[in-house]
Amino acid sequence: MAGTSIPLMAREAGRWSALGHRDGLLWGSYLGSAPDPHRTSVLVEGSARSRATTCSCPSRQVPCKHAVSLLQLWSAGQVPDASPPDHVSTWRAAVSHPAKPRRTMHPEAAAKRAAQRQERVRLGLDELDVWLGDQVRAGLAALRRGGYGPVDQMAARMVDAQAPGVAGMLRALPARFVGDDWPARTLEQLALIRLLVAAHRRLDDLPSDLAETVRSRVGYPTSRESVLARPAVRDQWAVLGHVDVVDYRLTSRRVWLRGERSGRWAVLLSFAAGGASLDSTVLPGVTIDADLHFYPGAGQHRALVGTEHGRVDGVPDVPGVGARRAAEQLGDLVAADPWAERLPVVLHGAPVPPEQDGGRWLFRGEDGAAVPLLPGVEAWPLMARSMGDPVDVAGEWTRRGFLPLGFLPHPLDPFFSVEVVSR
Amino acid sequence: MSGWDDLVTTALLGTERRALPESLPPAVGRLAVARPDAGPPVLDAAAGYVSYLTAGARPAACPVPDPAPRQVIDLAPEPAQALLRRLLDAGDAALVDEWLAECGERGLGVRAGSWTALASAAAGSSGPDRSLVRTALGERGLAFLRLNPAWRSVLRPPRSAGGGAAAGDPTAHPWSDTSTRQALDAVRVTPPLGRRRVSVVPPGAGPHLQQVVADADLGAWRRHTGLAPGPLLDLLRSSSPEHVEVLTAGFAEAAVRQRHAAWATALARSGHVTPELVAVVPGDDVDALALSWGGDGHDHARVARWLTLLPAPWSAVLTDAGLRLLASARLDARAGRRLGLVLGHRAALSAHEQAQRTAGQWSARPAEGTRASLAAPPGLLEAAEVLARRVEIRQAFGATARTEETP
Repeated sequence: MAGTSIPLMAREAGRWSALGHRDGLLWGSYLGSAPDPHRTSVLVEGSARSRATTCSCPSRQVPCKHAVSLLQLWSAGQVPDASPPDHVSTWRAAVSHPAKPRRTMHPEAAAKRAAQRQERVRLGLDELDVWLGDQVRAGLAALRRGGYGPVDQMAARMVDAQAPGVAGMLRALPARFVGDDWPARTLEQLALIRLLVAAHRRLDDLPSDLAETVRSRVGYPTSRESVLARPAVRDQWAVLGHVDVVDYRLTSRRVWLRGERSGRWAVLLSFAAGGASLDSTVLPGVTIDADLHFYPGAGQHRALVGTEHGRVDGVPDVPGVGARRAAEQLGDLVAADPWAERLPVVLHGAPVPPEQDGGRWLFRGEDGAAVPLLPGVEAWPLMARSMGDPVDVAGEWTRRGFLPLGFLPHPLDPFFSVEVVSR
Repeated sequence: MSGWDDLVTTALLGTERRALPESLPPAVGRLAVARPDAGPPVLDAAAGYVSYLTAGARPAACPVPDPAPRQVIDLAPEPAQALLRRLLDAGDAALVDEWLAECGERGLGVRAGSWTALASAAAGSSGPDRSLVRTALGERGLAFLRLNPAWRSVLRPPRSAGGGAAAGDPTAHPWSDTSTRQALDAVRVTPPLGRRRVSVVPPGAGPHLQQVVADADLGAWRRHTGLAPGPLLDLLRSSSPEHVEVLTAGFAEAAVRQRHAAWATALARSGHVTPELVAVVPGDDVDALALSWGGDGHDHARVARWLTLLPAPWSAVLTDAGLRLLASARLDARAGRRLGLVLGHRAALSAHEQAQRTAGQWSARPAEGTRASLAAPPGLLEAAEVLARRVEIRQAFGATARTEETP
């Protein structure tokens, strides 16, 4: 902390009253320029996955300056241990167990509610289907000329229709309006949306695994509790890579794990909005002995960590595959989940620099076949490690190329910090 | 692929203008159930096609890349590698240089995981020393450098030191006897006895005079006037102030070229300091100068400027003078910071504890290693901080902080 912050802090401390902390919960009242003090609470640890703050001040910044000041006082040891007042305890209970409200709903009522939702989604998707047909009838060039506006409008309609997954697919459309191959990439996305609409119409006839996949792609909610109630897959899960995606409102993180015994892949997703921090409890470079609970659906990688039995630093050797084998695996994945965007894989091979400036990097598998790296990937750290010799690299194999996320057996060693900015 | 391309063209132009293509693979074509509105069939066919292409895509064959040379040097120990990463992240080129020098002295190399960051830093205009970088990369790392055109500048051998024509190699720039004669004619000390003065003939000779003096043999002045450099400069200042600037500049240029220690010392003592000139002053004389500084009569900012011109390694006397000057709190923030950083980098490592102690006097909570709460004089914390980092570098390579002999 800078030398000037101590006197500043003393001045700040004078504005606080009713300060206290217990079990990672901080609270206090801050007297600013307003006649009434602001009531501020911060949760820094405990069962909540990320830090949570609340404050009665009108600021929309999260955390607000009062929460930051409270944290500073706390780290300077100026917040005494105390019993939390009622309003603080209530708040804590709310942020610690956000998904608890309607706990006991009558089965009939639940079924009725589910049917209502499905009907609402169906109506929304019917409307979308007409819109999709219109786009292809008028031509993609017209769609592109329209830009974000019409697409965002349709996406908002899908949110209203309780199909947020479809809304997300629509919002990803304009990003495809650039590059030489934009018509093909745009058609691809429209076609996958249309496929989802068609699949949703037949939801009740589909095999249950595929029906779950469709429901999850459309955006039907799956509660944490219901996922954690599914059978556990216990294994030594090696954490091999992660990628953060920065959208304009929301940051999301994918953390990839691979079970040592099962060879199964899992992805942990976390989201953060408004400057909150992402879940960092499981990051590359460790192996956790844990029960994982997978979300329902065919080709599903998404899982939650149930009980963690232990963890060790480092990851075991994972046998990498060649490019041809990885391509076959993507085929299998798409057969199970046609909307799948990425295949987690450990490739064994070497990066090959582009032949000329502006060309694309390749990753050549030991089987002699090569896949392009995703455009924009920082390939030099990969090259330094390999220099033509085969290395094992964990990453995501997508339709557009390979995104390397970590070297094995030291996923964090070459300081891969992958951040993708969308839009 | 023509079936897919056909489909894309239809979608691009719109089904109002172009029909559903007939060239689709049968399995895909079956999905496109014909109906009055051709929009949905195009999308259905496309959806099938996307899965068809994704599942059927097979990566192309690629020739084996050329092998790179093996790395023959051993790598620096892990704590040192981790420290290098931190220094690179902090963007401190001088400390990175220090790390690289230590690494090079031990004949060790940088691990591949840091090559990219090191190469990028060295390619920048104020990055680490490129020849140190090349040594630490080793054969394999050099092959890596050659792959990226953006790093070409790191591969280039360093430009010759000094850059300009004034570089101080006496054999390359011998004085000229003609100039010596001209100089002795132009600058005279008269009369031989009694109340002497320096005079210039013709008066107001300007840049030409400076050049003549710069090209003259410095030893000739003593032979002709009987005056040592110091007394001659004193006499010049007292009797002919209007010529001090031009003549001093000429003497200084000559002192650098002829590596004339006595003249360099006398000029430095008279207040004329340039990096080139200070490099010619013998260490003991620099120390003696430093000891004479720091009194109330001195211009502290000027002394600080002088100190920053002195090359590494600094003697204990110089370091002490620098620390005293910083602790006196008589420098403004900018001058203090500059001197602190220079001192941190040029002092011997043995000064580390002294610097820490001096800085610690201002620190409210030295045990926690926090910055001082009472503002320490500018530069003092910087000096202690840089020295601490340098000690850390030695320790990371597995050496206890060596107490280096001071020159």
